[in-house]
This record gives sequence, C-alpha cells and structure tokens, in this order.
Amino acid sequence: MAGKRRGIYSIAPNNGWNDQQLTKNCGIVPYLFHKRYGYRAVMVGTRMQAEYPSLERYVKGVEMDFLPDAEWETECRYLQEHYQDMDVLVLHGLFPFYFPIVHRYRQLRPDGKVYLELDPNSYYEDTLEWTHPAFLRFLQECDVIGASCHRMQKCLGQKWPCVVEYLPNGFYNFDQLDMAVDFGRKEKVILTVGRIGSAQKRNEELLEAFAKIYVSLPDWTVRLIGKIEPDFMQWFKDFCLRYPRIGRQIEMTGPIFEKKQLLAEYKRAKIFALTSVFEGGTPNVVAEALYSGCYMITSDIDAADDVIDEGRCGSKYERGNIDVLADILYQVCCDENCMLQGGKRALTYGKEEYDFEKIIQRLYWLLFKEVE
Amino acid sequence: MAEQAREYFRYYGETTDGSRKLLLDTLDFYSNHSALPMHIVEENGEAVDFVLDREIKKLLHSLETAVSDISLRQGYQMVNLMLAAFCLRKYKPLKLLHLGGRAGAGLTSFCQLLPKFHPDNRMYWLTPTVREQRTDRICMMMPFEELLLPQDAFDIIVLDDTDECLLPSMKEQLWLSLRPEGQLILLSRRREMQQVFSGKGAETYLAGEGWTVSQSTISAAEHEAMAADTWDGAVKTIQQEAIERIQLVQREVTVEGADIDALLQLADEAEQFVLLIYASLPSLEVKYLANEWKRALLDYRLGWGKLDKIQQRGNALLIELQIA
Repeated sequence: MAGKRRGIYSIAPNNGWNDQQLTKNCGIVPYLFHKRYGYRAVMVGTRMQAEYPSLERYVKGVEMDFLPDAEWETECRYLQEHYQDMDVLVLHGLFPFYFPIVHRYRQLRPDGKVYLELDPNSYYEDTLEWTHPAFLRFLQECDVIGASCHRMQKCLGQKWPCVVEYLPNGFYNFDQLDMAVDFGRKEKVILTVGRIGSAQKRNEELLEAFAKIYVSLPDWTVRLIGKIEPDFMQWFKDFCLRYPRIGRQIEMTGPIFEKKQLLAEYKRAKIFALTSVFEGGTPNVVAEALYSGCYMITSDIDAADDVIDEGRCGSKYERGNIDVLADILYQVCCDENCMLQGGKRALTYGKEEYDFEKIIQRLYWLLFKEVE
Repeated sequence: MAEQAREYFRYYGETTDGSRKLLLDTLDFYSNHSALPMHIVEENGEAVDFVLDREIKKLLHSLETAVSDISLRQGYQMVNLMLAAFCLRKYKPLKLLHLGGRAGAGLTSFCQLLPKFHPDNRMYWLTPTVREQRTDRICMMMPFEELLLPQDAFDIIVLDDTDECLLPSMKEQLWLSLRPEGQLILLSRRREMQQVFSGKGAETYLAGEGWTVSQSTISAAEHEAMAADTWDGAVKTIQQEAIERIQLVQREVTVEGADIDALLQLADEAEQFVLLIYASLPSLEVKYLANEWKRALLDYRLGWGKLDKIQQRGNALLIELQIA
C-alpha cells in the first residue's frame, strides 16, 4: 500500500449520519485527518436526510458512502469491498453492532488501526456485559479507545483490561473566525444550547431555578437556542402563567445552524448553563462555550468537573436540586468579578484542552506512535 | 559404647534403592541443638535417663495401638523420626504443617513431644473437610481445590495422603509456603503423588504395601527461583521494569536535546507494563496516573506541554507504583 493515499472511514453506530454530526466529533476527526494528513475521509452509513449542506459548507473533502440499510451483513459486505482503502476505522460508541465488523476488519487488515470513540455516561456503561468474551475481544481489537471526560476515562480504565485515553469533544473553528472575546461587551445573558425541551436536557430545571430569582435580576435574560420539542411549548405556556412577566426575560430562538451566528450568541452571554440529566462525555456545546469565555454552570453529569475545570471557571449543582441551582445563578449573576475571572479562565482552559487541532495530533500519535 | 549398644539409639529407614539410611540418632549429642536433652544423669551419678530415646520409643510404641495397618504404621513411624530429627537441628520456634490424613492419630504423640524441643513449636493440621478437633494442634479446614497458604511460613510440611485428598495442583503453593531449607515429607502410596511431590534430591523410604515416605528439602536458591517463577514474582519483575522506565524518562526529559520520541516510546511501554499487572496491584489510581503522565509527555513533544507537568505527574506515578 506504499505511496497510496491513506483512508479513514467512520462507520455510523446505528442507521446513519445526520448533517449536524458532520460538524461534531464524528465528522471533525475524519475531516481533520483529511485536512491535516491528506487522508481520504469517508463517513459510512445509511442516508438520513436528503441533503447534507455541511459537506460543502464546513467539511469540504469529506465523502459520504451511503448503504442501503444498517444491517451488519451490509456493513461487512462494504468492508469486504473497501478494506484495502481503510487504513483507519473510526467507531462511535460501544455497540455490539460493531463487534463483527471490527473482527472482520482485523482479519482483512491486521495492519489497520481502529479508533473507538466513546461518549460514555456512567449509567449506560454500568449496564454493559463487559466480561463477555465478545466484548473483551472487541476491546483488544481496538488500537485506541478514547473517552471524552476524565471521570469516565478513569472509571473505564480501572474496570476494563485496556488503556482508555482522554480525548474530549473539542472545538474546531471551521470558518477561521476571530475567536477573541471582548468581556466588556458580554451581556447579562444565561445561555443554553441544545434540543430544547428534551427529557435529557431538562431545560425546565433552568427555567424553574430562574423563576425563583428573576424578580431580583430584572436585567438578566435566559436565552435558549436549539430546536424546540413540541411538548415544551405547552409546558412553557403554563410556566409563564405561573410566573407573571417572566416571559419578558426568556427568549427562545429556535435552531441556529450558521456557526458564525451561533458563536456570536456564546460570546454575548456571560453565563452558559447545562442542566442535563445525563450526557455522553462532554457535549460539544461545552467546548463552544469555553472558547467564548462563558462562566460555566452545570448539573453534576459525569463530565461536570471537566466542564468547570474543577471549579476554576464555573460551578456545578446536584441534578434536580433547583434551589441550589437558583442559589448559584443568583450569586454568580451578582458577582461581576466571578464571572469575569471564570470567563477568562474558561477561555484559557478551552484552548488548552479543547482545541481539536491539538486533539487530532494526540490521536495521530496514539494510533501511529509517531508525530507527523 | 559397644557398637551394638550404640545401634539401640539409631533408627533407620530402607530407601527405594535398597540401602539403609539413618533417620535419627538419639545419642548424637552434636546434632542436638534443641531444649530436649538426649540424656540426663541422676544426682547421685548412677543412673542415666536417655530422655530423647525414651520419648522416641514411647512415641513409636504408641503408634502400634493408634495405627492398626502395619505398613501405614511403619510409614508414620518414619515420619515421626524425620520430624524429631528436624526439631533437633536448631533451637528456634518451628511451624509444622500436617496436611491431609484420615485421622490425626499418626502424629498425636509427636504433638505432645513437640513443645519439648522448643516451647513455641506449633503443629497445624489442615484437612479438606472437617475432622476430629484436637487440643494438641491447631486444626483448620480448607478445600484443597481452593488451597491458600502463606508464603515462607512453615519449616516442615507433612503431606499425609492416607485420605488420598492431595492434588498435584497444590505443589507450587506448598513449596512456596516452606521456608528456604524447609522440608517436605510425603506419606503416600499413590505413584503420581510420589512423582509430583518429591523434590530434587529427595530420599524415598519404603514402608511396605506400596506405602513410601519421601523427604525433600528446598534450598534457598530453589526457593528464590520458584518464587520468581510465579505470577507474583513476574508481577514484581514487570513492576520494576515499569519503574525503571519511568525514572529514566524523568531524568532524561530535562536534558538538553533529549530524544523525546524515544522517551515517549518508553513511556508507552511503561504504561503497557502497568496495564499488564494492574489487576495484581492494590492501587486503583496507577493506570490513570500512567496515562496522565504519558499524555503530559506527548503534549510536550507536540509543542504545548510543560516540563513541570511531566515531572509532577511522573513523581505521583512513581510514588503510587512503588507503594503498590
């Protein structure tokens, strides 16, 4: 295979990829291998939507190979046809679906590299039958296993008979935007980004907490960005009836796909809040908020200490404890110095730990034991 | 003393090659370093009490009623003589392990004699199922399939195969539970056990009806080699290899012009060694610390890491690994 262009193939864990995933870690890793190291980058899975605008707009050069279905026999057939081009195989998550695929890949390409990217959460990982021979074999067949938060990296490393690396979901500046943050121009905004109203994101918790203090913080606004779940609108209507005039301090923008516009939202906000019930590792929004110098407030998800740099750029609260969240929000909102120092640390910390350019170089070394 | 009279005090066994070997001489003063005298002289100087020989003859006689099977009785007699000879060698508290056996009768009289050699001598009787409880020894029960013995604990082990419960898989543990220069005595009529449990240079004596008594000594060198050959020994070796690599990296990384790529390979190896032995180490942290240290070194190599981070993490790792 000397002289031939190397290939990195990213296999979808279930049906296929959606456009949003192309600009998250799933797509960024193959994209950066393409951009930095000249790899041919291919995302493999069934077609989930008619168009993939990110292919042209953000991850130019990444290709997509669409499969007729997501059955593992189809995947194995694809493997058989393309294994000679697949120098690196990227997998996302611990799914038995991957087991026969990786095993077959190993037989066909004993020289190939397998990167298993995990966005683990402790609840899911605890249910795994990790001592099953097929599971153990799968772990052995991966060259690099990465967890996206320290706590899970440590926990899985203590449990599984393999090395688990720390490879967070970083930030990549697709449009080479000016990332300088003018703290003087930040506004009294508590921002959250995600699927608004989903059971996982628990945005109600943020709003309920804000409801306890909004009267004392008349200049503050909670801004929710993201696609809104239908049920949430009804809940929000009832919520506004319970708290008169609170609606004036809450804004819902809907989804923002344009990165420049989204980044402007982050830069504008003094505080970023994450009230999720659980998350797989560090959600992508965390890196975006850190890079934008936001003071971070998070529920105690597995990655909480990573999100707040162990308290140096934020605060955490016990999930479900609305009183404590309200308390934290109030204290932080009233403390300009706290927000400023926390925001500055967030910026520095983000660049140290969440720069995808750095993460990719680490990953390259871990796979090939050399610096390109 | 006339040779014939002298023979009264000597006890022999017949080896498998037909020769006769001395098992115990109850009047060889030079061989007795125990608290039990071989003889005492009455105050009036007229009568001599051959204490040790009296005790030995009493012991051998008691076996005639305790063990009805003649061949087996002979086997037990030889075992008792060997034990007595061992107890004379040095004045120190001895720990003796009697493993297996249908009944404890074969060593009952010896248990009564044992503290006379040294007051702190102890006999432990370990059986796979519950046997009769005794006050003259410490009785323990442990299934032999799950045998767990401390290393370097016993001066002499008697493997009593009269109940045919011994397992070949016990060999390594038994040898390692002996102290260096300790003895293993096997009473068995099973050929397989005779082959498995007889050490290098073992002397095997015939007791009749297929019963044999074999006597083996484990030298300090053999003991050390055997300990190194176990998984625990291998873990210590690998642990040391990991420590040496980490120390080397820690020293070299600060040197001007150091080959960081080579040091990274060493760090990677050290991490793999830790992974290999992790389950055997008490520390939960060591694997994580190894990875953090390696990452600090990788960041340094890639151009944004700091030397002091490598040093801090490496030192934390060494502490954890050296106390692990």
